[in-house]
Amino acid sequence: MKRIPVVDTSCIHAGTMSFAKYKKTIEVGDTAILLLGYDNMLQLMIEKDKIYQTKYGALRCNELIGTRYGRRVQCSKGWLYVLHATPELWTVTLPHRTQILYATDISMIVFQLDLKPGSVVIESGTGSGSLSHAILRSVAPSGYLHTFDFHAQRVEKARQEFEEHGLGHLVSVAERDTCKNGFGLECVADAVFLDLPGPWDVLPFAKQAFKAEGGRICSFSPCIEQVQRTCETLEKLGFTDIQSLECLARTFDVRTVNMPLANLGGGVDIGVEGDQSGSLHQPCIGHIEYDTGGRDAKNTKKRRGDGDTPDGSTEDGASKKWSDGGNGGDAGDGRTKMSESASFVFKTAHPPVQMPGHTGFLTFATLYPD
Amino acid sequence: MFVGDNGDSLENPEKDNRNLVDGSGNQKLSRDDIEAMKKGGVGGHNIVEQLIENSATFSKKTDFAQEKYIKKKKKKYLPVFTVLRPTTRLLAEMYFNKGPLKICNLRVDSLAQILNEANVRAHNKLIVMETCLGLVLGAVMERMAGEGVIINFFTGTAPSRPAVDAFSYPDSYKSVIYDVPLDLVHSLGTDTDSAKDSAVDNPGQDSAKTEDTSAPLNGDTTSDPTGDLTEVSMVESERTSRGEADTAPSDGGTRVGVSASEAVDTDSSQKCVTDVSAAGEREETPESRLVKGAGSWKKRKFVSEEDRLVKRQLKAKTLHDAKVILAQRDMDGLIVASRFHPTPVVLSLIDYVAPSRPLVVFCQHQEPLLDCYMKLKKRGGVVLLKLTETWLREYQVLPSRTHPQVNMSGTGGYLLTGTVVERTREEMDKPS
Ligand SMILES: C[S@@+](CC[C@H](N)C(=O)[O-])C[C@H]1O[C@@H](n2cnc3c(N)ncnc32)[C@H](O)[C@@H]1O
Repeated sequence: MKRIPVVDTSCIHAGTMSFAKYKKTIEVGDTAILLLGYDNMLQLMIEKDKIYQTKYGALRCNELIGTRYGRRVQCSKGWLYVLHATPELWTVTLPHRTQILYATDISMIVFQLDLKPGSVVIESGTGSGSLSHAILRSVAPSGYLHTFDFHAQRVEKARQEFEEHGLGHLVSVAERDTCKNGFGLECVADAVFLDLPGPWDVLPFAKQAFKAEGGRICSFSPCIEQVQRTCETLEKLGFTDIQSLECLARTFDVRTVNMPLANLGGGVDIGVEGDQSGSLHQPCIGHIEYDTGGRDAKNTKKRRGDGDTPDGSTEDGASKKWSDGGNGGDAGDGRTKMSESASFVFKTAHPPVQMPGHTGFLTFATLYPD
Repeated sequence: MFVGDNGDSLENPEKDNRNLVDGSGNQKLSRDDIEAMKKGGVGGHNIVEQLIENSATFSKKTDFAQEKYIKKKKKKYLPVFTVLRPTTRLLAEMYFNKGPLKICNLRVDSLAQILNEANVRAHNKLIVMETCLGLVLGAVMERMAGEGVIINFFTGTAPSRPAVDAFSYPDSYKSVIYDVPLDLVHSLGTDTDSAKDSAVDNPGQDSAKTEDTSAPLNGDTTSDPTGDLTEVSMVESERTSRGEADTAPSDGGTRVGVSASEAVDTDSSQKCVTDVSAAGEREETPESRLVKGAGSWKKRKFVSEEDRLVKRQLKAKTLHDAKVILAQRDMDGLIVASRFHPTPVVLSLIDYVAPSRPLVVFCQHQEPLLDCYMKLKKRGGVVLLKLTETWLREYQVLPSRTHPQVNMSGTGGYLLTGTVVERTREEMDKPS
């Protein structure tokens, strides 16, 4: 997902918006997030007289300026929402210069590094600044981030973004090969984070960089061999509580499923009050829908016809009919004979058919004071 | 147990465990010998050395196994304590390991997601409703560091949050909290007229001003003639007075006295107390020790009457301020993590959240969140609704013996996240 046109930085009013503090209204110089549909987002800079072309038609910045974030904006071919930027939304819309870290790992890193307002953090490499934004949010307003990358353009771009995002005063971005030259910092850090191919080379420098009272370190590595070497070096250097882990998020698909009832012949009488065998057939977590040729049936048919999935399920957003998970929906005319086309309708949170199986291993350790 | 974990053949091929026989005969020192050494004042290091010397099998073990043996013995005979400053990470781990059900099965990774997804940081104005012993509230407080506003909806007659006390935060961290009984939610909107009036000169608009509104929470206590309360915020004074009732069972008179003064809410306070002592944290807090050590029963009873008056005033003031802040419907986020069905809670509190702000609902079960998801879809005004679960796998990392830990946690709860947006007219008009 890319920023639409290239931004002319001359008209930016630096510091008007901030990832470190919310504001109500959209102003010139803000980086805003456009929501065009589920998981369809992009970020753009609000500039005077600027017009962006979106898939729903032209979006005029002048019409946004001074209005509230979170508002629904009507374009010629549809509507969209303009959202206030957050580190989480930034992560899914930022221009990639490198591989980046995503929300699940980022949450774990910030949490396990004990970050809070006032923390001083060292990071290498900066990469695309995805993690940096989350770090800065958590250590603001009194903390600081020293971030390093040996790639000149990445350093420059990150610096510019932090400035545009009202975070400039909380961070220094330096161009430096940290494996060779370390950070040039001593006794300043509460936490150190490494996302480098060879983090073990940086560990001795990292140790020096910690405050006298020690702190927490984390290294992110995709491969187990890297983890192995990192852990060995950490132990040699006197780090303790060394812990390696993986954290993955599963996103469930909330949907309504129509599961046809098999014809057992003879038509089973379902759910006659007081009838033991009948109540066993009464669904507990959904309801039975009958294809009786009525309106309901048409809906059901249509759903199945259009069926986004072959198992007869519909994404929740699209489904019109829904019950209070259990006894709502069909009034339960228990005496109706089950017909061939009856189905068991229920809501479910469907696990992803495919999901990322690996991002990287996170290795954490503590440095205690001697 | 996991077999083949010794990795003997990998590390030291000439030694393997074919000649190792399991049996108590391997150690020549008996338990009595060891006990005698302990009683005789022999130090832990010495005991471990003796154990090695008297082990028939130690020299036959591989290097790795020897190391493991020493580690094991050291762990048993020379316990090491490291005193750590409480952090969200340590407390979350501790509570989860001790009794996950008391914190609704909230595993560390889920808590980590809550904090980030809700964009918790200094200067925010958050609504929190939790029943995780205060762990979520405490975590939010850590990330806000005394800047901003937390409207904390609690259930029962008084907030019970041993985890918050375990953090031993400075008072400034607590001053941002406005405690509101959850059962007042439906009456919150009723006297908004007065709320609106005062909103002009007393708004929770930005944190500079909200500092003013929150100051009286502590400042007012100077009117307390005994002065005992000056260091303690409203919440604590409630908690500690109950703490007395709880921790002085031998002193019958005291107990009766105190609980009589609280006779009105015995029922639920009793419940709070059990919650609290189950977690076993409160006794350690300096505040409670302070009160426990304070004076005779008579004095305490006197204090407790004054206390109640001040308490009531503070409660009223907090409630008023909270109403004023909420009336602006401009909160920066809503976090719900409780043992109650989330849908009604979320639907009543979401109206106070400003557009373009996050909503995060944690639940130990998936189905209530499904319901919440459906109802929010129907209501409208929430985008990017997402139902997730995180999976956490830890690794044993050792030379040539790296593998996932043999045991892992099967569930750490579920999360429903989304972003509140302005509702369209059609959405507002929909019957609920
Ligand atoms: C995968 S990226 C980091 C992505 C980042 N964590 C994010 O979330 O956007 C790794 C970065 O490390 C930098 N890097 C690699 N080796 C380095 C070194 N020795 N010193 C400094 N930076 C280095 C690369 O230039 C690259 O930008």
